[in-house]
Order: sequence, then C-alpha cells, then structure tokens
Amino acid sequence: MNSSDNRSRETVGARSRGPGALLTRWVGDLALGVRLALGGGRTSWARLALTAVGVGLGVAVLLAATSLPHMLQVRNERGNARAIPSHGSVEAQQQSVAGVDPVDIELRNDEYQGRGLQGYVVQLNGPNPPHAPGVDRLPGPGEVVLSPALAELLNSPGGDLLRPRFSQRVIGTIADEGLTGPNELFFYVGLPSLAGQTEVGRIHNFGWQEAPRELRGIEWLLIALGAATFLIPVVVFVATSTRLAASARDRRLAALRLVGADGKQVRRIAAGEAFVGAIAGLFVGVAMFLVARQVVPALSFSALRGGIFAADIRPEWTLIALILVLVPLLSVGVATLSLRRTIIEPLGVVRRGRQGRRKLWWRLIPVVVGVGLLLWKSKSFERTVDNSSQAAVVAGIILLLISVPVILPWVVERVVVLLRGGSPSWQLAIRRLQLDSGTSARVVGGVAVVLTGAIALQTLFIPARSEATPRSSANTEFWAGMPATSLTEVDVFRSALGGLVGLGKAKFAVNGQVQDAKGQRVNLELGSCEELRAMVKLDRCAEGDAFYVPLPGATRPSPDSHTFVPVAGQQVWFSGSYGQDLAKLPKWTVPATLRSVDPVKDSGSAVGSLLVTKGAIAKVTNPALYAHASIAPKTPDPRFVEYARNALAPLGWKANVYSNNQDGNDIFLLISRVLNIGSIITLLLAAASLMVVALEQIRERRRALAVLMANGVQRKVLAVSLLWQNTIPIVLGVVIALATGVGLAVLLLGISGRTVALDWPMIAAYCGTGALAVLAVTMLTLPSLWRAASVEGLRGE
Amino acid sequence: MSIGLTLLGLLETGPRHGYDLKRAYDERFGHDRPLHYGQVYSTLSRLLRDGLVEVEGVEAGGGPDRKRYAITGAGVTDVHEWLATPEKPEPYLQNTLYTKVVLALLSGRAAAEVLDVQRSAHLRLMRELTRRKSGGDLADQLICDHALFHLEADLRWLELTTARLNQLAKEIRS
Amino acid sequence: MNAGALITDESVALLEAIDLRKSFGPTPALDGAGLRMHAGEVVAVMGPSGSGKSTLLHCLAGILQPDSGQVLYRGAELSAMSDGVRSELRRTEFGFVFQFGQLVPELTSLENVALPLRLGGMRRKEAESRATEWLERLEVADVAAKRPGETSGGQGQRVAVARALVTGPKVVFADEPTGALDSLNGERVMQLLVAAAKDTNAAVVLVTHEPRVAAYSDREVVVRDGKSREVELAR
Repeated sequence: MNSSDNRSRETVGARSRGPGALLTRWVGDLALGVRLALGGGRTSWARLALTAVGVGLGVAVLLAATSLPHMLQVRNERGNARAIPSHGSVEAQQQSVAGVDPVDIELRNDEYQGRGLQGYVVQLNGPNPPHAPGVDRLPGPGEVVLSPALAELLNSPGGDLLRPRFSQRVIGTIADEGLTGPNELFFYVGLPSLAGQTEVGRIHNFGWQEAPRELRGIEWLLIALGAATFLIPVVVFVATSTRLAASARDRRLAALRLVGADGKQVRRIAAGEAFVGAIAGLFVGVAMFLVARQVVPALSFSALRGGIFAADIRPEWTLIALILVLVPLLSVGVATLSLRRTIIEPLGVVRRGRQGRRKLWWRLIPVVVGVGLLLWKSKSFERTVDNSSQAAVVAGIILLLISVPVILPWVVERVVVLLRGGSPSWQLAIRRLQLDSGTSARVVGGVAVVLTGAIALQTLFIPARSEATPRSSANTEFWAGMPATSLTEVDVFRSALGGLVGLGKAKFAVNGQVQDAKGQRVNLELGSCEELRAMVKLDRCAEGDAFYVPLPGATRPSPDSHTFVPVAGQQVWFSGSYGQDLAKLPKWTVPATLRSVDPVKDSGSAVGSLLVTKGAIAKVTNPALYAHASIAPKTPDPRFVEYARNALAPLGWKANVYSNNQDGNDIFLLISRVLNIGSIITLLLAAASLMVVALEQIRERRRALAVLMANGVQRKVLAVSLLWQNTIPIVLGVVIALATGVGLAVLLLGISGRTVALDWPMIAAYCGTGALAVLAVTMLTLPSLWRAASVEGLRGE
Repeated sequence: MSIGLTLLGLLETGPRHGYDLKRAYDERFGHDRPLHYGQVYSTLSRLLRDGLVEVEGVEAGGGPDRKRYAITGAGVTDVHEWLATPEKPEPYLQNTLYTKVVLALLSGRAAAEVLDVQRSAHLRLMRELTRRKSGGDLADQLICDHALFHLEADLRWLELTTARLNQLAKEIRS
Repeated sequence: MNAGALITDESVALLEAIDLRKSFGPTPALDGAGLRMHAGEVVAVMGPSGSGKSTLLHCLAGILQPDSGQVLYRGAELSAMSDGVRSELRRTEFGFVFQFGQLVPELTSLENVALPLRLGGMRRKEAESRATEWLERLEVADVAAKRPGETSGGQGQRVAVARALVTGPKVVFADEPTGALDSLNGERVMQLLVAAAKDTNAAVVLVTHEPRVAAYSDREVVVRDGKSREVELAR
C-alpha cells in the first residue's frame, strides 16, 4: 500500500465520522431500502404483496401456534370448573358447604351419531343447589338446561333422532363459561331421583381436578416431532418469501453499487427492503389470524371436540413479542445473507462471474449432527419422558428436518447437470434448471419438509396407535347396559330393546353381586332356565331354583379371600351403590334348593357364580342388578344405535349404549387430532407458499416467456416445460423427504426402544399428495403464465 | 495510388524480373485492371533513375525482361514511409489501403499498424467535422453529417479488415 | 472525498493504467493494456467486440480488480484501496453511463439522479434540487417524476448522464452510452455529455465501437486482443 492511498483512506473516513452522522447515514440507507420496496409501481407492489402474503401466512400460523397453550389451558380450566369428583374416589367426600343443599349427580358420557354428547343428570335435594358454571339454575325434575349447540341441534332436522331423549322443558342455555367450546353438546337434566344409578355422587359444589397422567415417551416424541414438522416449514416459507425476486433485487442493488454504495450500505438498503416486506407480512399475518379467529368457532370438525371459542384464541404476549422481533430479523438476515454474491460482484449487471457450484460439506452438517444427537439419546424415551434428553432430541429432530431444504438445492443442481436432450419443453426446463436451480429447489423445499415430517410422524404413529386402545370401526355392534332395582325394570329394559325393529342377534344378561356379613362377595347371574342352561349343565331346573358353580378344587376360596361359597339358607345382601351399611342393603336368603353344578365347556364366566332364576329373588326389595345387552343389528345401519338409545330414554337416563365408533378420551387420540389439524394447516400453507413463489417466478421471467411466445413457441410447450421445471425438483424432493422421514422415524423409534414398521401405502399417499400439490399449483399458475407470456410482456422496462 | 511504390513494395520481398513483377502485381492487385508491360518498364526505369531500385543482374540473351531488379535502401525507406503515412481520408480509398495492407503483410510489417494509422487519420477528420457541426447551423450540420457517415463507412471497413488480417495473411502467403 | 488529499500536480496523470492483465477463466480479457489521461480529456476506447474494452473500463473504475498491473487515480493505486474507499470514489469522483440497466427501476428519474448524493449523506431537498438542475440541463426535466420504465430510451440515457455528472465527478466512465439509441438521440446524448464534461473539466472514458461517437473524443485508444494501442499522428 502506498502513501497516497493511506491519505485517501483517511480523508474518506473523515466524512462519515461521528455517531450522529453515522446514524443519519444508517437511517438514510434503511429509508432508501424502504423506498425501493415501496416505489416502482405495479411491479414492486406485486412483489411486496407476494412477500407479505408469504410471510403473513407464516406469521398467522405462528400466532395460532402461540395461542395453543392458552387455548388448552382455558378449555381445561372450564372443564375442571364444572367437573365433579369421580365416583368412589376418597376425595369424593366433599365438605358440606353452609347454605348449599347438595345435589345427587351423575356424569353421562353419551353420543349422538358419533358426536360426543356429555352432561349431568341431577337430583335436587333442596332449594339452594350448588352453582354450576354457566348455568343460572340447575334443572328440577322434568327440566333441562342445554348448551347452545345442543339446543340448535335439537331444533334442526338433523336432531330428529335425538329429540326423544330431550323431551323435558328447556329452562335455559349454558353460558360460554360452562362450556369448553362453542359447538360442545352438553346438558344438565333434572330427575326426580337418581336412586339405583351406579355412578351417583353427592356434591356441594362443582369443580374438580383430576391428577394429569404422565405422558408416555412415545407420546412426547409425537408431540415434539409434530410441533417441529408444523413450525419448521413456516420458518422455511418466511425465508423463501423474503427471497422472492432475488435476481431482480440483485440487479437493482448492483446498480446501486455502481453509483457508489459500498458493501455495508447495500446490505443496509437490502435490509430496509426486506424489513418492509417483513412488516407488511406481520400486518397481513395478524389480519389473517384475526379473520381465522372469527372463522374458527364456526368449524365443527369432530377433531376439534366441541370447537374453539374465538375468545380462547389468545396468543401469548411474550411469544407475540418474540414473533414480532424474530420474523423481521429472519427476513433481514436471509436477505443480507443471500446478498453475498452481489456484495462481491458490484457489477452484477454488466458481467456475471461464473457461479460457483454449491458445496456439499456444510449442507451435511445438520444431518450428521442431527443423527448423532438422536443416536446418542437412543432408548432414552423407552417408557416415559426423559427430561434430560428432551433438548437434544428436539434439536436432533429440528436439524434433520432442516437438512431437507438445505440439501435439496445441492442435489437438484447435481442431478440436473446430468440431464440432457429431449423434447423442446424438456430442454427448456432442464436448461432453465441448470442455469438456476435454486429457485425451484426452494419452491419445493418447503413441501419436502412437510412431507418428511409427515412420513416420520406416520411411522411413529404405527406403534403408538397399537399401544393405544384398538378400535374396530367397521362394526355396527353395540352394547347397552342399565342398573336395575327390580325384576320389572329388567323386563322393561329387555322389552324396550326387544321392541326395536330389525333387532338382529341380541344377547341379554343380568347380573349382580351379593355379600355375606363379613363383606366377602360372590357374583350373581340371573336368567331363565333356558338361559342358565347355556352356561351350566342342568339336569333339572324350575322357577325359583338357584345354583352355584364351584371353583375348581385348587382355587377354592380361603376364608380370608374376597369371595365366599354360598350355602343354602345363608343370609346375604345385594351389594351395590348403597354403601356398606348392612341395614340399608337389600336382604336375601339363599334358597334351600341351592345345588352345585358344573359349567358347560367354554363358559368360564359362570365359574364361582351364583346362578338364579327370577323366582329365587322375586321377593327381594330393590335388588341391585345390572342388565346388559349386546346387539348386532341385521343391517349395518348407523342410525340403529340411536333408535336403541331413544328406546331406552324413557327409562330415565339410566341406560347407557356404547357403540364402536364412539370417540375415546385418550391422550393419544387428542395428540393425533391436534397433529392431523396441524399437518392439514401446514400442507395448506405449503401449497399457498408454493403458489406465491411460483407466481413470482413467472412474473420475474415475464419477458423471456413473452419472447418465446412471440417466437411462436406453443402454449403447450411452455406449460409442459413449467411442469417439468417443478416436477424434477419435487421428484428429488420426495426422494429426499422419503429417505429423511423414514430415517428420522427409525431413529426416533430407536429412542423409544421400539421396532420399525413402515406403512408403505400411507407413505405413498403422502408422497403422492406432495407431488400432487406441486402439480396442482403448476396448473393454477398457468393463467398467470399466459398473461405473462402474452405480447404485453414484451413491453415495460 | 502509386504503381511505383507498389512495385517497390513487391520488390521488397526479393529481386524479380520485370515480367515476374507484372505477374505478381496482376495477381494481387490487378483484378480488373492488369498492368501493361510498357507501364512496368517505364515505372521501373523511373525508379532506377531515382535510385530506388537497381539492376541486380542481366541474364544472357538480351531483351528488356532479362534484367533482374532489386530494391535499394532508399527504396525500402520510401516504402516504409508510404505505409506508415495515412492516406488523406477521402472516399474510395480501399484500393490503396488494400495494396498497402498486402504489401505490409508480404514484407512482414505490422499490417494492423497501417490500418490503425489510417483510423486515426479518419477519426481526426471526423473530430474536425463534429466540431464544425456543433458550432454550425442546420445546413452545416447536414453537410458535415453526410461526410461523417461516409467516413464512418470507411472506418467500419477498416475495422472489418483489421479483424480479418489473419485470414488475409494466410491467403497471401499460400 | 477531499480532492486535496490526492495529488493534483498536473504532471501526474488523472487516471493511469499500467500493463493491466485480467482473465475470466482461461480466456484473457486484458493482456497488457494501459491508458493515461488528464483532467478534461475525452478518450475513446475503441476496438472490436470482445477485445477487452469494457474490462479495461471496469478496471479503470475500480469495479474489477486486475490480476496484475496498476490503476492509479491521481497517483493512488485503486487495488490497494478498501471496498469502502472505492465505493466512495465511485460515488464522489466517478460517474457512470452505461448502455442500459444502470438506473434503478423503482426510483423516479429525479430520485435516480439524486441517488449518489443521498448515498453520500446529503439531505433530500438539497440533493433533489441539484438533481433538478441537472435534469434541466440535459433537457429531461419533464420526466423527473417518471420511472425509467416510463421514459424513452433517449430520455433514460440523459437521466443516466445527469446522474453520472450530478456529483461533479472527475472522471465519467461511459460504456457504449448510445448503444441502444438511434443516430439523432445518440448524437444529442453525446453532445450533452461531452459539453457537460468539458464545462466541469471532467475526463471521460468513452468505450464505443461507433466511429461517429468516438469522434466526440479528443483522442482514441484501440484495444485489440486485450492489448491497448495509441496512435500518435504527426500534425
């Protein structure tokens, strides 16, 4: 360096010295970037709009995600506020509250056409019942309080089959504070008496909290993987949206470099530009979120379980602040990073240096580190959640998912170089890809991440599902059961179901339990001689007879066991829901005719039981019995189960009917529902972002396309070329997603100590959906391609 | 164009008989107007008189075409000066310039130099015209532009020739 | 930049290139090119396409770094300066007029002309009033509020000239400034450019392959196969 240069450097530096001047420069540069983003008429507005929509989609999803904890919490709180202690738990003995007349109450888990239908049946015991949340007054006998959704359902044609069950007078609707969601079907039904119901509790106030069950390891993994699958594409899309129209931007900034903007200035200007896009994106995102918030309560997927109140969707403020800071930072960061080439080459317009080939080594870092982390923590989630490994596992998942969009551009670049020749459309496509494969690779990168996550989730689901309660859904068989306190009630139950038209194969059974003075019990089965013969070998049987099926010799009960061997003439009591006070229990004397009999083969259930005919217990007042029926309808009509429920309704909310397709209240199901919703949203987001990027790509190449059209290239050739251009990267994307997804699942299953089974049809379906999304988006962009390729495209700058 | 300087240029590549000189001249430059023998010998005698060529030897048998002519030092100087001096920029220079380029190539001189020098001369005139145009009225401008466009056409031809020098050199030497 | 910091001695050339060599890949674009010019001089750089004219100009302007050789601006070597200093040079001491593409499409003509001033930290009002003067001088004040896409080629090129001259540069680099224009517009742009440069005593490096454009220069340098050559004619 010579001396004159030293001098020039000093004088140059002198002008921008001083913090005030520096700040002015900075503000000026940023403002210029803003001006560039906003100025420029339709072109830059279109670009800004696309960026804003792309970023906005991401922001909306992030806002929704941050709303989740609050939403779940308030739902849970409202659910707990109206809950009652589960029957039989020690804590169920509530303290009496002065001035409150306790109510007898039972929770009913019903259903209507596969929709959950919950509520309480209550028996008032005085003028001052406890206050139920959202309910003005608890219903007395013949009265009912309904949730708005249930009331609406009952008034709609779709409620025909439900109406017979709610013939009571409606005295009010449940306010929002008493519901978990706007579409929840919930009720309070007043009954004169709950005597004889099995699960009745006496409460002084509502509100109960079950101890939450601990998550199983695999459940935690599902949640972690699901959240990552759900959120990483969002980040990818925000980043992609920021890089829209990168080549136009590079030209613009190169022009600025020429006029004398130095590297740092150009960076600041680009940052200003990206900042505008990010801010616009934030506004669009917030707007989308607010709109979605108003729309969500109208959604009534069964997966949403009663729907979501708009008021419950309230993003966490700290997280909002984080989004508000991180999204612009991400945009600005990506914009600045992607500028490396322009910075090096101020003469971007005039002479483009040969683009360096993409390098692989740093792209492999996330894969290697991710796999390493997951292998390291292998088996740590075998049973429950291993808290010390959580961070490492989440990091591993995220790194592996991120590696997909990171590696994809390299793979696309290397593969398209190998492609040759073919039809004109194919040639146009591959040459275009060879020139710039980055844009296309970025376009499909987001979809590939979703795909990777979906495949991994799917593979993780298989063992998780088999661990959860299996359910068969093709079956229309159902079960009915009802506590009964008299033989008449048993008959009513039978005849109510027996009267159903089209009753197919029905099996009835009535049982109960008797105890001796010491509290030892024995099972009791009630039936006609005919029915008893199906269980035991009877040489003779008459009304009034009773039999005992002794346990095999070795297992004969010892004196201190829970069961006893009844003998003829013994004094016993029906045990049921009346407590332990012998004085209150129905008393019965075992008939003198009691005989021991042997069970028929394959009827183990009768062993150790008392078998009685009706006559034997006819004299008992209020025996505690339970009547069952299992019914397989002749025709697989899903409405049949509703008929059965209606038939049992007049028996006063005692009977329960369970069908196969009733949703359980399992954590696993909850997780799977949330993940399903998440992947639907993410896929929609992926498709929307894909669309945005594809449109931008066409817009940017408008002139070239118009020239082709003007030269007589047929539309078909252009369309097919565009299709190839997206198909080649998506095929590669699918391959990578498949490999990474399966690999990730294998690693995660390794962590949870389970074996791997792949559901190939499902994986194929996912890959197909991803590919289809790309094709559909290509189709949707065709109109814009025609518009761009019209001769109009030749005009302009 | 000077036949004398051209013949001198041809002699620079080596002594020749008058007859050879005529053939060489016709072959390279006389596509439409071959030289008469008389022209050749009268020119040669003038060059001989001026000391630019000399008779290297006379072969037996007599007759004018038995003499071999060679260029003298003064002759070489003359050729060199001629080649290095641009022609006055005016239309239809191509014959002279072509001859000069070929002679330069034949004598191993830098042919591009000939063209560069000529370009400079052309440009100098064009500058002059451009200056006059800027100061003049519309009539001046139109007249100057006419001249400028013609000069430009010549210059473009010069450029093109420059670009084809290698090709030309190959053809001449073959 | 404070002009006093650089050597102003008349004996030192304003801009001098010595034995520049520059290759793109295996093909040499410059193979020992040089140039020397003084203040107020208009020098045409001529030569066939691909001869290295533009590369020479880019090296002279400090946009490209030559592989070897020196570019001295007022005695200071460009390649030894930092990117920031060279950027500042481009902003304050140099001006650029290219065939096309040098205007920022998002900005109006006025903003484009004011851009170098504002990049240097000048207030908007002042920058735009100066820019307006230059637009008027180049007879394009009527397109001040239009964007480059909305003006004709000739107007756009005059805006570009205005932008190149607005900072009062010492050297204007013009690379085929009339390449995309017809004769009449081209002539006008050249007249305005040269007149303005002469007024401000700015040197002009004029890369062109058009003799009539080169005729606006004071002298010409021919670049061929990456080598430059200057002909000194006896008067």
